[in-house]
Amino acid sequence: MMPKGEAPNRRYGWPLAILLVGLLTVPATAAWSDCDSTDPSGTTRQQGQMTKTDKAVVDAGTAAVEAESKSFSMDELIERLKKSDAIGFLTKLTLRSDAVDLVDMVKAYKRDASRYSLADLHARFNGLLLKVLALLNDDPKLSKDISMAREDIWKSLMEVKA
Amino acid sequence: MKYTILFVGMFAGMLCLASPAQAVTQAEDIATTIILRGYACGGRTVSNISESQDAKGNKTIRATCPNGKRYQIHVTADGRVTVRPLN
Repeated sequence: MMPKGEAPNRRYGWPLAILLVGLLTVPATAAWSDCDSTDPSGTTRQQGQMTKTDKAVVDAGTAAVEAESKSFSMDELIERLKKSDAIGFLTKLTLRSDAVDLVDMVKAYKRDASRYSLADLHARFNGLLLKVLALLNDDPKLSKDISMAREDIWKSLMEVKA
Repeated sequence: MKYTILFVGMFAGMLCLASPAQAVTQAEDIATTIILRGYACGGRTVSNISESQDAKGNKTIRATCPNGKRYQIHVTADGRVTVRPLN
């Protein structure tokens, strides 16, 4: 015979079990992601495990091979950049302003080549691309694709009519 | 029954917290914009955010950086962004 006081424990036993599993899962996940991102020395990792840096090196190697065969759709990249959660709305607007300024500079260069040099435009383009790639830290796939499409983006920028 | 719903809701909330990809907050977004325009902010978020919008659709945002500097961000109706230090 069960005492009267134990009835609620039995009744809410399974939701409490779910809650406990949830509480145990959250710190474990957080610890895993921390370990993955902030392990500069690699002293605590086990043999055979890849750090983020190792993965980046491997990705860069495969990216170089893929770059030759893969062509990028500019519209698709722009759409993915617009939809990415890694960059805030205001930051996207700021980058868009910079991109519009760069396009205006290219137009001015095409009208009058003495106003800007090609090296100036390329330097500004590289700076803007670097900003985008730095901001896409939380979206590595898009960052990699944009990085691989660097030359295609530059070519399309140079095709802008004056 | 209502406790069951509460517990399931809490569990779902915790799963959301555990997901690695999180959207950028407005405070982080404003701080990034200030830094992108070449101004020192001293951190990745801002505080004391105030917003106003005029009849033409131009938006003005004012915020304070962790280094104590206050900035004004002006967004025109066609999406041009400019940043100006206030102090």
